[in-house]
Amino acid sequence: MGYSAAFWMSLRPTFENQFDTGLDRAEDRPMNIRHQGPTPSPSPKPLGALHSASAVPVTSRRQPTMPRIAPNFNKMRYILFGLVTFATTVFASLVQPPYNNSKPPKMSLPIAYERAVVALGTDTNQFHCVSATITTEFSDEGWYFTFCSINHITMPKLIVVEFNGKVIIDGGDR
Amino acid sequence: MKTMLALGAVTIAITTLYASLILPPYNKTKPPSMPLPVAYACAVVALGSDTNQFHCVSASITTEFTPEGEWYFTFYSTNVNSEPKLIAVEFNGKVIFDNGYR
Repeated sequence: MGYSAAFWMSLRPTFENQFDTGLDRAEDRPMNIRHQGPTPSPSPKPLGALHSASAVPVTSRRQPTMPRIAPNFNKMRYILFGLVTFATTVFASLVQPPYNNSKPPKMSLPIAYERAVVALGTDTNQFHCVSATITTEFSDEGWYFTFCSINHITMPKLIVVEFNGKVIIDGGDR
Repeated sequence: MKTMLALGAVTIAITTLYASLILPPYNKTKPPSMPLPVAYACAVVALGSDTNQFHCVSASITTEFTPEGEWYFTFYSTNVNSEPKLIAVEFNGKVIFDNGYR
């Protein structure tokens, strides 16, 4: 099965660019070294026999570009690793461990609810409690209340009553 | 072909049955007809002498039992090995112990 010369000539640069073979090219060869490999010819030949690596002088092989960028890449890798570690540490310090459910709360639910309603003030006409859970989101443990509005558009109010009596209205910043 | 049709019909029947068991979530814009402290008092009465060992850690409105909604309380024991007690207090005052079958 024969192929045209134009086909083989178009195939050659593509193959070299993709795999960086460093194989012989006329411009890479020193003048005093006689090329012993098969000369490019328009005659068809099998793909594996395109170039003979044994016939190429070592000096004509092109150096791969990877070693030149490797030190920079290593530095970047260390910086990235450091940043990821730092971010993880900061995030872990913000997230508190969950409440130990076997420990009775220091403030009972009705008392905490009463304090939350007092903190809600006049909004009690519009907001009603839909859930209460013990949380460790803030510095101290406490009851976390969700008050929803009768108005669809209004956002719910989140109120934390810590076991020490402190009341916090959670604005969602944390 | 007949088997395929039968399988399809069975799948549809199971899906319909399952969907009928799951009620839509509570409409949170609607104020509960029973406030939280009253429901809590009902749950504690139902808990009886176990109040010495169990304490409430969460309460929320759900529609697990009725579409109108109910207060759902979780009571944990001071004993780590004990299972928590789940109590639902419907807005009409009916108290249900949730044993996890539903």
